[in-house]
Amino acid sequence: MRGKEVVLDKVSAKFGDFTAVNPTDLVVNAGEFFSILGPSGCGKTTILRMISGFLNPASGSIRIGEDIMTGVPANQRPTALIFQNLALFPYMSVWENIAFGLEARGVGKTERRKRAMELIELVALSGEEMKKIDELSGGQRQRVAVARALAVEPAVLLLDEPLSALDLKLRQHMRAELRQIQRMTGVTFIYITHDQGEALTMSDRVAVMNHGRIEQIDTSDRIYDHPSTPFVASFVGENNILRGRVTAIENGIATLESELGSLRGRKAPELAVGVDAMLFVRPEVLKISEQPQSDNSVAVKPVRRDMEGAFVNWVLSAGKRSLVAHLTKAADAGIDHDRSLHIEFAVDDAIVMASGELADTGGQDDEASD
Amino acid sequence: MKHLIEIYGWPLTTFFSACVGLWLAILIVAPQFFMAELSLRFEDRGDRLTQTVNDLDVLYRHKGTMEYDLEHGPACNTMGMINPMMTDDSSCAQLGVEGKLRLEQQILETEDLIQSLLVEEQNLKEIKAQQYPYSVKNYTAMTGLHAWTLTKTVVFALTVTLIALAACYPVAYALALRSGPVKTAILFTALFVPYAVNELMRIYAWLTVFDLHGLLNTLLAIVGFAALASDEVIVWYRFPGTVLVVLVYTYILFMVFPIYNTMATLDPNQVEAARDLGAKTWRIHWRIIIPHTKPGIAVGCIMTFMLAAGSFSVPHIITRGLQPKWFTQLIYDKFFESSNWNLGSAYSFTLLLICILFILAIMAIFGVKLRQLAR
Amino acid sequence: MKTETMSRSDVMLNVFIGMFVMFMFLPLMLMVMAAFNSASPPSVTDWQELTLAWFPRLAEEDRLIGCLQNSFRIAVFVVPASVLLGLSAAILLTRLEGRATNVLYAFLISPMLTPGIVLGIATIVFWRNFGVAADLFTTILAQTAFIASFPMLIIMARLQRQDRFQEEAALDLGASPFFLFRRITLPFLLPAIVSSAALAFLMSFENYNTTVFSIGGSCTLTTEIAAQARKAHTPVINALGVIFVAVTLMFSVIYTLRKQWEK
Ligand SMILES: Nc1ncnc2c1ncn2[C@@H]1O[C@H](COP(=O)(O)OP(=O)(O)O)[C@@H](O)[C@H]1O
Ligand SMILES: [Mg+2]
Repeated sequence: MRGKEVVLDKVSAKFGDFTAVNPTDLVVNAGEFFSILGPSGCGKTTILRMISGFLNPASGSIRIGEDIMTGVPANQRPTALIFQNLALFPYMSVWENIAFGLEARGVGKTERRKRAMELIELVALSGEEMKKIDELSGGQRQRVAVARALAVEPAVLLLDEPLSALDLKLRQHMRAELRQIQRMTGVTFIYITHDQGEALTMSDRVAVMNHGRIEQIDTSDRIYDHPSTPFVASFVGENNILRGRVTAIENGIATLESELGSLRGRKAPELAVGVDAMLFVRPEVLKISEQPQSDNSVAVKPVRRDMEGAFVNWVLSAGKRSLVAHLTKAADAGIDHDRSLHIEFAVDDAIVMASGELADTGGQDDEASD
Repeated sequence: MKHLIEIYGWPLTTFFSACVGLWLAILIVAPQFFMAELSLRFEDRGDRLTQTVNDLDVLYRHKGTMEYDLEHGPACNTMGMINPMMTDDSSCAQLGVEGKLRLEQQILETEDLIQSLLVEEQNLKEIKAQQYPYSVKNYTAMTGLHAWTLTKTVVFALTVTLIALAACYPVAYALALRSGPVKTAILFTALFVPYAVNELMRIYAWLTVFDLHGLLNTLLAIVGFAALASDEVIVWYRFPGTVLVVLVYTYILFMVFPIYNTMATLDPNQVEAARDLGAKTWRIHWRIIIPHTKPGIAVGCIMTFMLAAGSFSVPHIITRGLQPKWFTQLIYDKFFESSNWNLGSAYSFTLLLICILFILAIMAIFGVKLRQLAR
Repeated sequence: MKTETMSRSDVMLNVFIGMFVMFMFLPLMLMVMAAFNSASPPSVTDWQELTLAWFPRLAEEDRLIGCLQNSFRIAVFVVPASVLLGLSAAILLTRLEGRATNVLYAFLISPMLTPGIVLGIATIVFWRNFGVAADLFTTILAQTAFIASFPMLIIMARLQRQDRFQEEAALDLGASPFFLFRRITLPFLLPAIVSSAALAFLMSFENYNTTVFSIGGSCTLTTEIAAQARKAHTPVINALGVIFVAVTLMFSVIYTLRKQWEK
C-alpha cells in the first residue's frame, strides 16, 4: 500500500445559504498522518465528506494523487472513510464486515477470507472473526472499522473522530495503535478530531480550523510554540492572555501597553503600532520571584497553589486579572508565599498578536471580569 | 432525487420511480379519474336515440321471425314465441300461398321501416356527438328514496363510529396503560383473533343469532314471547338495527388497535406524575392521555367510518332482501342489475366525496396532519 | 379513600373489558358450535346430534374449491406486486425531501382511506375503456391499489430506523448500487418485507368489498361465502368458519408467544 497526496484547491461547502466551509487550500502529503483539529461544528466532517465524495464542493476541486475527483462517485475514489459512528454492518460477522469491500469488488470467498484474516491479525482481533458486531467491545469495533477500511487498500484513509466514543484509557491506547498502523501501511491518514491531545500526539502535521476556515497548518510543535492567530493560541494548550495596545515595534519585538503595565513579546507577522493586541504567554514559561530580573514582569498576589505531581500549578492575581503559572518542583521550592511576588518571562517566550476571536475554552479564560 | 441516485444509482432509482409512477397513475389516479368522468356523462334512457335503437331492435327481431316462418312454417304461440303482429289464430296451420304472399309483403314493409329508422338513428347520433357530453345530471338525478338511503347510510356510519369510539377508548386504555405484560398479551390475543378472522365469517356468525330459529328467538320462546313450532317469531332481519349491530361488531376493532398503538407510546410515568400532582382521573384523561392519543383516535374514526359507510358485505348478508336497499347495494345494482354505469359511478363518487369530507373534518377537529395518521 | 375509588373504577373497567371480549367472541362461538350440530340450517338452540359430518362435506363443494383456487391465484400476483410497489414508494418517500413528498404520500395512502367498493368500481370502469372485462385481472389490480399502501407503511417505518451511514459506508468501500441494495438494504428490510408479504396475503385472501365489485362473473372464496350465506345456508359454511377461526387462533398465539419470548 502506498499513500497518495490530497490537494484541495479553493474548496468550499454550502448548505443552502449557510457556508459550512470557506474556500480552502490544503495539501496533504502522500503517506502523511494529517489531523484537522477544531471545535465541533466548525466544518471538519464536511471537509471529509467532500474528500470521500458524499458531498459536492460548492466551488473548487479536489485532487488525489494525479486524479481530479470532480464527478468521481464515492464508490470509485481511492479513499476509505471511518465514520463517526463506525457504521459497521450489524448483520455480518467480523470477517464479513472486513471483507465487504473485497466482496463488492468480486473477489472470491477464499481469497477474501485470507485477506480478512491478515487484517484481523494486523488489528489484533485474532479469534474474534466469527463474532457478530454487537458482541464486540467498543475498542474491538474500532479495530474492525479500521480493518474494514484498510481491506480495500485505500490510498487515503479518512477518520472522523473515531475514538470519541471510547473511554480515556482505551483512547490513549488506540492513538498509539493507529499511529503504528499508519506507519506500517504508509497510507495517507486524514484524521479529524476536536481533541487537541489526539491531534498533537499522533500527527505529522495539524490544521486548526474554526468557523469553516483553516487558521493554521503546521507541525504539532509549531502549532504549540508559534500559533498564528489568537484562536489557535487560545484553542491549543493553555495560555495567559493580556490585552492592550501596541506602542512600539523594534527588531521583531513588540511592546504592549497592557492593563498590567508595559510588556514585551515577539511580534506576530503583520502587527502594526497603534492596534489593539493580545499578548500570549504559556503558564510553563512564567517564572515567579520576589525580585524580578527584567522589566518584563508583573507584580502579583498568590491565590492558590495546586500540586499536580510533575509540576506545581500556581494561580495568581494581578489587578483584576488572574494568571496561571506551572512551575517545576525545583522552581517552586524557593517561593515564599507571604512576600509580594512578581511573575516574569523572557521576551522570546511571549507572542503579541492583533486582537481576534478566541476559542471558547469553557471558563478557563483568564479574563475574570469581562 | 440526487441523494437517491448517489446511493442506489440511476437504474434502481428509475426502477423504483417507475413502480411508484405505475401504482400512482394506473392503479390510483386514472381509475378514479375515469370513474369521475363517466359519472359526469348522463345517459338519458328516455331520449329519442335510445328509443330508436330499441325500436330498431324490435323490428330486426320481428323481421327475423317472419323470415323464419316463411321458410319453415309459422311457429305456434304455445311454443312460447308470442308474435304481436300475427293476430291470425290459424297461425299454427300450414301457410297457404296467400299467407306466404302476405308475409312477404309484411317483410318488405318492415324493411322499409328499418331503413327509415336507420337514417334517423344516424342523424340522432350525429346530433349527440356534437352535444357537450358532460353534465351533473347523474348527481342531481338522485331521487328522494336514494337520497334518503344515502343519508341513512351516513347517519349509521357516524353512529357506528361514535359507538366504536366510546367502547374502544376504555379497552385501549386498559390494554395500554392498566395491565401488566401478561394480561396485555392475553387481552391482545383475545381481541386480535376476532379482528383477524375473515370479515365474512364474522358477519355470517350473526345469522345464528338472528335466524328465525336463532338464539334471540329461542330466548324469547323460553320466556314465552315467541313460539318456535308455530313460527310465531320475530323476523329480526326486518329491523335496520340488526345492520347497525353487525356493522359495529365487524368494524369496531379497527378503532381499538390504532388507539392502542398510540396510547402504548405514552410514558406511564407521565400519568403517574399527574396523579402524584393530585389530578383527578378525568383530568388525566383530558389533559394527558387524550392529547397524546389524538392521531390514533383520528385514524380509528376515519377507518371505522370509511368501512361502515362503504360496507357492502354487512347489508348484503344481513338484510336478506327484507329491508330497503343500502347505499352500497344501490351502487351494486346500478352496475350489475340495471347496468347504468354512469349513474353507478356518480353514486360511487359521492360515497368517496363523503369519506374525503369526513377525513378532512376529523383532521380539522383533532388537529392532526396526514403524516401523523399513519404511525 | 383515593385508592378505594381507584380500585372501584378498575373493577368497572375490568367488567367492561370482560363484556367487550364476550361480545366479540359470542357470535364466533355460536358459529363454531353450530358447525358440530347435525341440524341444518345451522343452529345452536335446536340441538340434534353432535357430528363432524359437515367438515368432509367441504371437499365436495366443487364450486367453493374452484373459488378458493381463484383466491390463491389472485394472491400470487397481489402479494409480490404490493410488496414491490410498497418497497419502491417507501424508499422514495424516505430518501426524498421537500413538499412534493408530502403530496406523493397523501396520494399513496389514499387507497387505504377509500371505501373498497369505490376502488373496485373505479378499476372496472377504467379497464372497460380498453375492452378489458371484469375478471381476476381487474381484481388483482384493484386489490393491489390499496394493499400496497400497507407494505409501504411497514417498510417506511423500518427504513426510518436505519442508520443512514450504513449505505454510505458500503458505497465508500466500493460497493455498486446493486450490490449495496442486495447486501445492505435488503437484509435490513427483510423482516419488514416478510411481515408485509404476510399481511398482503391476508388482506388479499380475505378481501370482499373490493373483490365483489371487480371480479365480474368469477368468484373467490369470500364472494362465494357471501353468496351462500345470503341464500339458504348450511352448516358447511360453519365448518369453513371453524377452520378460519382455528387458523387465526393458532397464528395469533404463535405470534404472541414469539413476541413475549423475544422480550
Ligand atoms: N446536511 C446538513 N445540512 C445543513 N447544515 C449542515 C449539514 N451538515 C452539517 N451542517 C452544518 O455545517 C456545519 C459544519 O458541520 P460539520 O462539518 O458536521 O462539523 P464538525 O466540525 O463538527 O464535523 C455545522 O454548523 C452544521 O450544523
Ligand atoms: Mg463531525
